[in-house]
Amino acid sequence: MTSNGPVIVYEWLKTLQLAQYVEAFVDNGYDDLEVCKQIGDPDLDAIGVYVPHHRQRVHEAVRRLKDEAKETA
Amino acid sequence: VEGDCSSRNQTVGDWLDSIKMGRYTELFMEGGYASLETVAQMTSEDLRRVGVNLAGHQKKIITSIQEMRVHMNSASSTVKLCQ
Repeated sequence: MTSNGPVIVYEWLKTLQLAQYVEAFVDNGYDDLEVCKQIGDPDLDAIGVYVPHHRQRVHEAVRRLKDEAKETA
Repeated sequence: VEGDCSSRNQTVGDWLDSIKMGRYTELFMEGGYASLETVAQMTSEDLRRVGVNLAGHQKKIITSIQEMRVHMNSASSTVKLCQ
């Protein structure tokens, strides 16, 4: 059951300049973009993203992920 | 010694700690999932009922439960070998 999900999450966070959180994301089970799409404030609390503009950046990126999913559907 | 064959007497708390989900130990206990045998039967619906609401945490715990089932199947065959 090897998955390249964590690598993709790392790449995703890197584009947001938030790569420092990759371990916390994966440790909390956010190890592919499908599950990252479901991230909201409680998830960020659990992961430990407390800096307001970092949270903002993740929220925007999650919105983009959802939009992309809609377009390809 | 008889106990040797079933050396895996890990608790639910140990298991949750090992996957960094130790914060849910109390909720599992309160929900009646006090042994790994009962935990191994859990579905994502059960997890939600217990109070695991975060998508990532659900995913992590479910993945671990699936691995646990595989381990338990192989463990029960070694128990037979022991007898």
